[in-house]
Amino acid sequence: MPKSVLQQSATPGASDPDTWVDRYGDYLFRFAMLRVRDPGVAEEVVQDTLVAALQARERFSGKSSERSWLTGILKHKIIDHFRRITRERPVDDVQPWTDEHEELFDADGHWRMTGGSSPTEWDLSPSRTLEQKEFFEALAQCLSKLPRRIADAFTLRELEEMRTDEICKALNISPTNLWVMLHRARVQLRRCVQLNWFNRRGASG
Amino acid sequence: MIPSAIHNMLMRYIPRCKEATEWISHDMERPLSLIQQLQLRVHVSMCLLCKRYAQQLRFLRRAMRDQRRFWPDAVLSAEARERLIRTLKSAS
Repeated sequence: MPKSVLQQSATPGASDPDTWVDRYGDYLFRFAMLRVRDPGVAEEVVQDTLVAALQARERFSGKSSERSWLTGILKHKIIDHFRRITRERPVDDVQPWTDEHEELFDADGHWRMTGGSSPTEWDLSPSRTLEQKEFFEALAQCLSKLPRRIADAFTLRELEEMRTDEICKALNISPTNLWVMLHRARVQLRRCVQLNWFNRRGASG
Repeated sequence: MIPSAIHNMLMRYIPRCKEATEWISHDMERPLSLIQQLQLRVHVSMCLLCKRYAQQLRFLRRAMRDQRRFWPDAVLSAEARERLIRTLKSAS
C-alpha cells in the first residue's frame, strides 16, 4: 500500500489539504483580522500558514484538532509579521508623546477639564455596549487609529493575552518599552472610545 | 490621627492624575509595590476622574477579550479564496 495513503488514514482528524481553504479559510482569516486589522495582511498570513502547514503536515500528530494545529501555525506567522514591522520601523512609536500628554493634563498633572477628554461617566451596561455590534465597530475603528506598533503590542497583550516576557521576545523590545506602549494605547483608545461612542450616547460629565 | 508631619510626607508622594494613569496601566501588567498601591489607592479614592479611568480601562480589557464580537462579518472574499486555493495547489 502506498505510504501516503497509510499516513493519511493513520492520522485522526487530518483532512485533504485541498479542502483546507473551504474548511478553515474563513475561520483563519477572521482570526488573523482580529489581530492584524487589515484584510490584505490577513490573507497573506493565512496563505503563509496554509503553505507551511502543507509542508509540515506529516508532523501533525492528531492530538489536537486540525484547526487548532493550523491556528497555532497562524499565531506564529502573525508574530513574524509583527516582528517584520518592528524591524522596519524601529523607533517611531516609542518617542516621547509630550503633545498628547499636554492635551490631557495640565502643568500640575491634573486632568484638563476642557476638550472633552477627561473621563466622563460611561454607561457600561452590556445592553448598551458589549451586546451591540456597533460598539465593537467603534472599538475596532479606535484601534485602527492607534500607531501601528502600539496597536500590535496592545493586541498581543489584550487579545492574545501574552505575558510581558513573551511579547518582549516576540517584538524584540524591553519590558519598559512595552509598558510605555501599553499605557499610550490605553490612554488613546479610552479617549477615542469616549469621544466616539459614550459621549454620543448621553454619558454625563 | 496621623501626626501632621507624616501626613504631609505621605501626601507629597501621592501621585497626580497624569502619573496615576501610568500606574493604573502598569498595575495591569505587574503588581505595583505595596507603597505605590497604597499611594495610588489614596489618589483614586480622592479623584473621581481617575476612579472612572481605572474602571474604564478594566471595561476595555473585557471588551478586547470578547473576541467573538469583533469583525463578525470578516470572511475571505471570493477572489482571496481563489488565490489561496491556487497558491496551495502550486505549493503541493
